[in-house]
Amino acid sequence: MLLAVLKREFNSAWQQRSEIIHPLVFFVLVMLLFPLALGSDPQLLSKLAPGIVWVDVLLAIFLGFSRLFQEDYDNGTLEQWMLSPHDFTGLVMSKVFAHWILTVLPLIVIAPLLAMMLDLPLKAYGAMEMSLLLGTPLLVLLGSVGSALTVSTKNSGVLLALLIFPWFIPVLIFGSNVISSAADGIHYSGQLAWLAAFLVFGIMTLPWAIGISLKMMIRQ
Amino acid sequence: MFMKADALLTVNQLGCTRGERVLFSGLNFSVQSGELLQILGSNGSGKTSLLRIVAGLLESSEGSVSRRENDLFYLGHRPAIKETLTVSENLSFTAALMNFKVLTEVLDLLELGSFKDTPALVLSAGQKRRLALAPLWLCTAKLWILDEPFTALDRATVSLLEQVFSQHTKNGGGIILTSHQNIDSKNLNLHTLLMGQD
Repeated sequence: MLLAVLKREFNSAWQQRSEIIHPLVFFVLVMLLFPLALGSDPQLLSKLAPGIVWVDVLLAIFLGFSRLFQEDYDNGTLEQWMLSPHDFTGLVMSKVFAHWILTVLPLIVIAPLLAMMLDLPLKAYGAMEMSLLLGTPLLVLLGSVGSALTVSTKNSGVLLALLIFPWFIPVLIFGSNVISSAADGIHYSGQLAWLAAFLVFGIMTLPWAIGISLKMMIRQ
Repeated sequence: MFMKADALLTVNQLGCTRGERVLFSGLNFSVQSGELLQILGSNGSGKTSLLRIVAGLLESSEGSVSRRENDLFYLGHRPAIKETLTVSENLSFTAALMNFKVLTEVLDLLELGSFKDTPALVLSAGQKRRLALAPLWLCTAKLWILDEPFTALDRATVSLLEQVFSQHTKNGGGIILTSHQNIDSKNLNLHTLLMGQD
């Protein structure tokens, strides 16, 4: 059944490719603006690159949250999921997982190309990819909680930002720290371990919070 | 709680309050196997809220509902159709969700056969409604909870629906629905409940 949800999300995304392409285009455009605004001093750009990459990823991911559950809530799909014999939280988490694969994984794949424009030192690329792979699933889980809580609110954008950005801060700090440590040639395994620990904690608790929030919204 | 042997649904002293407004209170009824219960009442009398409470999609403010777990098909105003997916993709997802097998004949019966591979986006309101009702011919759930099932349907589909209702109740199922339409009761064990008269 979880595969059926994944298949449904992939089929639907294939029909509506803009859903995948928009965050990607946004990600690239924002990244292009920094060298233009900051000047072409390679040393300055290289120093700022870790922060820029993480802030950009965070904003691109945030774009998708306001609509993550919206359609399925409005058209009654979530109601049917609640009534089905399958586990509601499991169904919802498959959807969240599909969202990560469809909208976040492409960002991680093209991030090295863009980091090159910012002159990020070569030795930091591995660290960047690892920090993104550990950090972004947590961002998506946190964002899904916010998205679930605001699903019945019209124009939830700003409310959603106020609700979830504070929770993004630790991920942002540790994530960009991993990259800058790697760029400076310092050990970064400690920060990566923190990200991994956050992620494990998130996987243990947040699916439950997402399921409960959505049920509460449907039942109101 | 007391429950008759073949009662698919028993509602006991049920009440619903939305905000400050009491929609209904002290409601008692049951749906036996083989019965169709039609809920009548003016707009805003709480018919939809009642069905949502019975289905478990809304908390009641008092009273209790007893029915068997995971043995119901609920269709509300919102058809649970994803418009970017094709008609058959929508139906097979619903089938996986509710554990039944898809027979393509149903789509032909509902005159959706030629739309099988088109996105649900292009369907008319009545065609979407027919797609949302398609599980009735396929699912094994005993209790059907249908909120205004006849909305947007043409006359031919209404009589198809009445046929499947009588077939379902003859097989021991039960139906509770809201509708302003007069249901042809000659093949049905039809009961009615009038709301908003107290």
